Amino acid sequence: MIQYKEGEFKEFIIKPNNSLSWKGNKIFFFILFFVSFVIAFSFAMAGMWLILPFAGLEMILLGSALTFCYIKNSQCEIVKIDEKNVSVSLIKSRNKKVFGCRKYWAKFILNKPRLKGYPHKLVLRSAGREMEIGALLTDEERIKLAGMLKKNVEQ
Amino acid sequence: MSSVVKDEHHDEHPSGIMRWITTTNHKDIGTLYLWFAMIMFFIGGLMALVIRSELFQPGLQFVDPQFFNSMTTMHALVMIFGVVMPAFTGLANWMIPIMVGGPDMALPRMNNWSFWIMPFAFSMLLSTLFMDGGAPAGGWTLYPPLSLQTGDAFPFLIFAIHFMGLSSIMGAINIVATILNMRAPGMTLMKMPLFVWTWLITAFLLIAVMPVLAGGVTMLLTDKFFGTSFFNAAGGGDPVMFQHIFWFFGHPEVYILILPSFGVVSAIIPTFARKPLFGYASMVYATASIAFLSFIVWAHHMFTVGMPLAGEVFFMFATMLIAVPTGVKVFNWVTTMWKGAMTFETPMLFAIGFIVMFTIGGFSGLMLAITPADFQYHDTYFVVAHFHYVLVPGSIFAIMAACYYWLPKWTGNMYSETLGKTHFWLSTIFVNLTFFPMHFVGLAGMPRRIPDYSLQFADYNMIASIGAFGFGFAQLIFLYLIIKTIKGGTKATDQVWEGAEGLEWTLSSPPPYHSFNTPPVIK
Repeated sequence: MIQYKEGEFKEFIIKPNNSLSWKGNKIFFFILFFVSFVIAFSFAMAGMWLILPFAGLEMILLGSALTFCYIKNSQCEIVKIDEKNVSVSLIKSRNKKVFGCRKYWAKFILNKPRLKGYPHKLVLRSAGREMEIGALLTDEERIKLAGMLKKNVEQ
Repeated sequence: MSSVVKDEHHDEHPSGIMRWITTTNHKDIGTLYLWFAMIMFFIGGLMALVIRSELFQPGLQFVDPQFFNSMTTMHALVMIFGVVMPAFTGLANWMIPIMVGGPDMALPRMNNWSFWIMPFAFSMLLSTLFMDGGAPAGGWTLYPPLSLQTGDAFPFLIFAIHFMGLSSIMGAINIVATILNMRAPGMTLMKMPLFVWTWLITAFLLIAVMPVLAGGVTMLLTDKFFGTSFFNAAGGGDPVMFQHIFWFFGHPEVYILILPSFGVVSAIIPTFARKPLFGYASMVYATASIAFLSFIVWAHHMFTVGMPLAGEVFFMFATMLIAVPTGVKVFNWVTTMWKGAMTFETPMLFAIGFIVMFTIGGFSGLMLAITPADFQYHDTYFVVAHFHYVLVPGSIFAIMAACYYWLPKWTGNMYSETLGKTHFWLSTIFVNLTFFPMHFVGLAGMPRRIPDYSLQFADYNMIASIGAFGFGFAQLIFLYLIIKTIKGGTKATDQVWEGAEGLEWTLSSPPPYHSFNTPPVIK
């Protein structure tokens, strides 16, 4: 998904596809939590309490797995282009890494895939170094993003 | 710029044994699961042949009764936890990310763990065959106090079950996370292939009931070694409570073993009937209804323990209700075939065989659901016939159908249709020869789990044993065919089957090591 903003500088926010929202994940988790604990508590009431800790451990595992997926899918890349500079921020969880270069030397290159079925690869190249952008996108979106970035950096 | 990203070649991966040990690729792990299930299928099959050899004629011929009981127990544990569940998990690993347009499973490292726990669990379980006191012989249901009489094998059995459960839970969580979070844009829940839907519901069931099994077997362990009395009547416990616990897990487990089969058949029939699946939404709701009902029917396995009449009536009617959504499914499959441009390639033959023979198993299940009738059938070979009709031409045939259906996609090579059809017809003839006579001996009163029997059951048992050996040998054709197809053959096209629809058929055959690095858009 690409969000484009234009103000003092041009900003492209790139996010991966996430088919379930955090709210959706929470609803799913609480449904399973409810079912699992109704079962475990019912048996505990009948004296079979050892089912409870296993249900608890499983819910911890399920909750962690869903949280991990959400965090993994909530990463994003922000490309900012102003008159002189190009910067790319990689945001993963609470970590933020920013890379920058002069607009004059910046070049966005879309590499074609070597094998059928593989995606294109978009890189930002400057002064002999390069970094990948838009790995989170669909191939069609990446091609579109490449066109938009090239157009903006060449202006 | 402060960082350089190297140009990664996505097709690169470790080679040799390390590829398989360290892999986090869903296709590799799917392959591992499927080969594991195949190996266990032959181990469990050999155990079945020991049972059928002993039952070939009355009297004790080859094994002592203790070992015979070990064989029935181990055969069940191996076939349920070592064959059907891993095979479906393997199919899920291979196909679900591709079907939903995701790059891989949501939690690839956990995926690796959940597979590699299995060989340890089954090594532990099979090692009990060589222990003092022999392998577990109290039946896969582990009812106390009988199961507590197991020798040195007991703690190994319990820990093996814990590991199998852990592997299943990790697999189920991974599948749920993948289906919910990794779907391609546009792949709404009601656009998902039925195989994905059935697995989502199966995973839900697994997550709900596995702690019950884990808690139940742990209480057995504490009763044996730590002086607790959960199931010990002398200490104030209740052995029947274990049966409730076990079947509260065990009945949904039955659906865990069969729901993915419904998904497989729902994928195959439209392909070879060249028509869309009839009643997609009703299939989804029927699957969910079956899953819900599976939680409220457990006591039909224990009608004879002495429940109150109201309980027996409730569980009888609840069980009979399952016939409604199951009937919807069978109706939809038949209606999909109705006036379709049908062809009968091997996957379709197995799918049709599934529908016919699973329905026979379903009907005998309905007979068993009737409480007063069940009092007569309980613990007879009629029950053995019933659940084998559901699990062998049901689950196992569906797994074989899935293998034939997707094998050209996985390997890039077409299999030999002649060998495939030979495998199908031999399997179908012999599976009926094995299990159909069991209905008759069961109705005539032959009890299950016995190494010797009355003379009047001799003829049907001999036929069943011949059928079992025939079925076993027919599976060698399957093994040969798979190896032959992996090694080479006519190249498969990307779509493979003329009527095939779905994202998996848009990829090359075989698909790239990493499929859908970026999600496709579903229209």
